Amino acid sequence: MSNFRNKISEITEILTFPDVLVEVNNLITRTDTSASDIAKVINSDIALSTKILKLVNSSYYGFSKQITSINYAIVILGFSVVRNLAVTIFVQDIKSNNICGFKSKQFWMFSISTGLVAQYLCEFTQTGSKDDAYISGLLHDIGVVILNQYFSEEFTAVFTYAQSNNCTLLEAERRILDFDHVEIGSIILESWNFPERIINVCNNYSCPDKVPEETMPSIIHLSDGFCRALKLGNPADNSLPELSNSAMSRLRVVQEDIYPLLKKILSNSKLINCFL
Amino acid sequence: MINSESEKSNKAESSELPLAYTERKHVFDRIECMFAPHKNKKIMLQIKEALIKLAEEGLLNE
Repeated sequence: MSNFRNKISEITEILTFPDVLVEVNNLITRTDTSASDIAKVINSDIALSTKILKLVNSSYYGFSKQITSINYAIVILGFSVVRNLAVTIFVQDIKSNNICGFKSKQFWMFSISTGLVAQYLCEFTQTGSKDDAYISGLLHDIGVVILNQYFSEEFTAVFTYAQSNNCTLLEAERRILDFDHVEIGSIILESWNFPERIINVCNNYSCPDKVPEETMPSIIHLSDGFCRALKLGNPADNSLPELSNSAMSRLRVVQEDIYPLLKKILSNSKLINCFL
Repeated sequence: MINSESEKSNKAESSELPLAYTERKHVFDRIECMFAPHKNKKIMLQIKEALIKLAEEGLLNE
């Protein structure tokens, strides 16, 4: 366990959150920040601003006129949406190993899908913040990428165990390791200064009944399950964890909602590619 | 003779299956496999039913 602690501490030193995003996050929390303040910071990173504009002008948003500046994008979409797009771009650049069939693009497709489905569930159930839902969905399994890249021996062992026992990576980790990707993700998100509420969601989405007074872990729990069931991307294992009845009740999702919900998610799924 | 009778019978049965099923057998197989550990779990059966309906409509292709 002390080996794990030492290693994860080294990782947080290497895998730092980009300065631009740190600055944007700081600005968002202030009440006197203007769109041009944030645009100025984002524009200092040409690659990032170009990628954000490409995303903003993609068919996902479907604007009839081209958005040519970050400033305008912020005015139209809001601070948080543009920040979330920047985080989406950053995390996809995190290196990963091509072991055990892990494919970074498929993994991020699953994570982005979870974020977008979570946003939709917020709308559908009229619960929670859509921005929090997206970022929590995007980052809920960030620990898997870290496990894959920095703990490749453990990742291989866990993957093999999950395959032969038809269980999720998380279940396998809890059976054969002293730590799991939820714990890794939590440490990484903390080092990136994500708010406690987002870290809590990532910690509890796999067992939302532990926090019955909160709805966001239930939203991510269902989004993760729906994306797995619909095979939107690949979370690195092919299993489907049992979904919680209480999570459904908490969000007031009833049996009759399931089919139209899945159908709607599926009909929008092609647009997910815009984020990759 | 027994074999050819049985072949005929199998052929007849398979031609009666809905086209969506024969075309997308792998999708239905995947659903069965995915939900195998969740037998008798009400919510999982409800999700499974919804997925089968989507697959029958040809919406679930992978």
